[in-house]
Amino acid sequence: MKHVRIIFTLTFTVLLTMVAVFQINEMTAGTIYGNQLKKLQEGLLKVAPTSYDGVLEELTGDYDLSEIDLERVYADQDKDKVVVYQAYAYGFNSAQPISYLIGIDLETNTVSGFLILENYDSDGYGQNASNPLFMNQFTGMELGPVLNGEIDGVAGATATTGGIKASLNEVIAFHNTNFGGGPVGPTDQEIREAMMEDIFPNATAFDKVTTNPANDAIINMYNVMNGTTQIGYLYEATGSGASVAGGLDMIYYVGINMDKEYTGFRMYDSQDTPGYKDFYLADSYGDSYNGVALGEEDTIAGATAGSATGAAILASVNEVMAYHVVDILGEMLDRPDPVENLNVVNAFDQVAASYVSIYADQAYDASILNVYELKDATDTVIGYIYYGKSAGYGGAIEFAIGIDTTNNTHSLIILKENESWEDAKEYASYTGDELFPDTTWLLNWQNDTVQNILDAEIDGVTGASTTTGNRERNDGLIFAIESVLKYHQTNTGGGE
Amino acid sequence: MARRQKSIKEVFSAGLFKQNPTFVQFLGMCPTLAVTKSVESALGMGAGVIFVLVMSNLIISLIRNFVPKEVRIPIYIVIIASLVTILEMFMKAYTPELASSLGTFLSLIVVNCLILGRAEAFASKNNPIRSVVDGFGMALGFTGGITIIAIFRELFGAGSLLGYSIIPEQYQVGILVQAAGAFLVFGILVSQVNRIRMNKEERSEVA
Amino acid sequence: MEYIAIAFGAIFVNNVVLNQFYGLCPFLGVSTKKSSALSMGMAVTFVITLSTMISYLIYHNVLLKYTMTLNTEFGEITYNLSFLSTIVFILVIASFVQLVEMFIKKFSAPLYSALGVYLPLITTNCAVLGVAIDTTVNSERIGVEGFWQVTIYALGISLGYAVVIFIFSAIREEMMAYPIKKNWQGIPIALITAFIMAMVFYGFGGMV
Repeated sequence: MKHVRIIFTLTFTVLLTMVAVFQINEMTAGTIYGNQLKKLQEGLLKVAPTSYDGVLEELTGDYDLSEIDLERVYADQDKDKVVVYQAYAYGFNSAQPISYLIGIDLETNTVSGFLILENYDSDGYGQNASNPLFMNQFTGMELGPVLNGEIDGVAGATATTGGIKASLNEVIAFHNTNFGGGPVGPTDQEIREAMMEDIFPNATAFDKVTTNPANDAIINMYNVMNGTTQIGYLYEATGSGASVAGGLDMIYYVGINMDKEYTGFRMYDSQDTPGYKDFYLADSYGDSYNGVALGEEDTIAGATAGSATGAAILASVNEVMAYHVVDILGEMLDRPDPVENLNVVNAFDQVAASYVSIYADQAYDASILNVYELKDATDTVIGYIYYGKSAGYGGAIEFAIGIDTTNNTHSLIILKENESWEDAKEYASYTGDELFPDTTWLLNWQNDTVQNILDAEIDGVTGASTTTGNRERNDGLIFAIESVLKYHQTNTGGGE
Repeated sequence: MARRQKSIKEVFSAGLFKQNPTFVQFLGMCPTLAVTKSVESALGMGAGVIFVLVMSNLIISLIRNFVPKEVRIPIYIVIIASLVTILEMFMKAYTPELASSLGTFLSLIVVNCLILGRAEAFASKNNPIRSVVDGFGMALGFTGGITIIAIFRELFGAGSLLGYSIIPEQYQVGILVQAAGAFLVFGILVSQVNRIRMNKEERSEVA
Repeated sequence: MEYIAIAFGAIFVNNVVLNQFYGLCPFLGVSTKKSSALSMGMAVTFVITLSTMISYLIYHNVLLKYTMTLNTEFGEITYNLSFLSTIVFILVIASFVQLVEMFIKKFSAPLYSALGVYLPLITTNCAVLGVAIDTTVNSERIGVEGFWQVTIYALGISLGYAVVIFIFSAIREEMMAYPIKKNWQGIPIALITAFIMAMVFYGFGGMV
């Protein structure tokens, strides 16, 4: 009897509460659905252009969105006034994406509005992205700058801004592909083709070389044709920009004609600091390559502000040039000789009986101009002198470093430079009073074993970062000297 | 000796002060810390708890004589869970912003020990009127408690009250609106409440 | 790798107690002694992991499967039984805890004497219901999907609970030896300790 009562009471309670819950659900389900609809609709209206007062239709089903973080696509009936995207961005809290709307005015090809719908990032940090100041900056922006990530971040929301930039990049790319026709402006493909034609105005065809060039810097290579005659080579290449250690990529095109001269340069994409990179994005910089002979890259003038970017570009162009000469043309690169600059010999502590250039027998390295083998009176090898170069703030720097047979470095001497280290003195981290090249920083590379120096990962000098360079960015003296040391290990010294 | 039954007034005020769920009994700590980022969500959570606690105390007190002792806890839980679900649906329908800011903690009213605690300790032994009064007093005490915490956190952490900016950004203590800040504010407040209570006790002993 | 990231995130970054405020009552109540904190941690790990798995299966195989339609002013809308989640989950948890208690009482006396008293407390530990709801209804918020990811997440969350409650109890045990002003004794000083621990755990945020 007792069990019956227990079971009865339990069942009865559950049934009764279920009935109540179901009833209330029927009462509220419609309103809840309406709320969600309303929130989205209100958002859509907020990001659509103020001039547009029509209805937006959902077109999500028309596209394959499986590969990108796009949730929904809306547009006006004729698809010629406005498109709105609902997309996801991954901020600091990567597990909980930020959901946002972006409207694009198809008549002016600008952003008509940006609205964050849901943001689960932390208060005081990523949550700051929901600040109207951040969201309003998009209104009226052209799509190019949005694609290039020229968006002001908000304090505390660095990771979140980065996530939004990355997501916008995808959305705009999707937009350019799908709404790229008509008045929307050139597509990505059109922009690239225009650049290629700028470099080779006489070309009738760009034949893509299908085998991948064996070089990290080169993305694509084209044989440039005029009718059936080849008039040059076009490289699409990448290099590390200067603004961020570790490098954000830049992508550029550079052309070389059959007379071993550059025919032009165009920067396609650069993640470098706005303001600094503008100089290099302009056609005037690209045109300054016209007619410059291979190997004479140092004569191309960079900008005063953002010279690190210029140095990074030149370092990458140099690499392309070396690949072109050695691998495509099968020629030797210019290996300037000898002891015409007598100061080179000062890099080795001992005076040798003979200095013979052995570079012609060895692999080419963009940082090395020449290699000398030093022998004493008994014809025994006592060491090597490397004659190297790197791109500096004021043009090319040439240096020499001696390494003996026990793999110890002797002196590092600077043979040519035009650096100004006045600025560096203002930075507290630079303790040396002397200006380049009479600086104690150079002592770091002297009188130690090659391996020890490489292991030490010597830091650059704050305020003179273009001269001293950066390991990750592959530029400046640090990169050049370390290239020499590694070259010594694999080719001349350590390999044995 | 039978204990004297408390008057209705005493039942009501117990929850507000002497047995305040937030500062004295430490019941329902999760929402106490989680939803006190802003005064608005604290008040919203408080309203939700008032609804659920008053209703659950009423229903449980009404059925207290029919429920077999062995299954009383599961039955209470079913009733509370249903009430919470109903509350959730109402909030989502009529105050969607509030519902999304309370998030999972709205559902978690089910396991707020305050609700089940009052059901077991009071509603199952008292008549409906007294139970409703007890529920209302306790829930109001809870609301007051979390609102006080929220005032401190929002005012000093985000520089605003109910969304109105009061303190400029450079004087805000950002950590207070973060998870860790909840522990700090609550800890300091409890210590001060303790101090006041101890002073009172000392005085009454002297008297 | 993905699983390791989920587990690490659940244990340290989104720590259930210090960051999400689940399960605070037992956290403050049962953390005065290391031994009881350890038992509580074990019991919670067991219950959270298994009840989350059960809840996940019920949610996806029952609650989401049955749909109904309703005519509203916005046209006909389809909805499923997910609005019953809270009720169903709490029943699952309560009966699961009951079963576990009966089971270990019968088969393992030492285990029962270690965990027995803590089991009934777990029903009202909001971490259990909280994780069950977060991994189903709100799963897009925590970014896990699929049965195994959810299981790993639940295991990580509950291990995070065990780790934190154990460290916390060790600190509190040490603190017994020091004179603390009367009005700060007990809960207030425990909350300040939790504050410092939460700050320390913020450090893990940068690692994911």
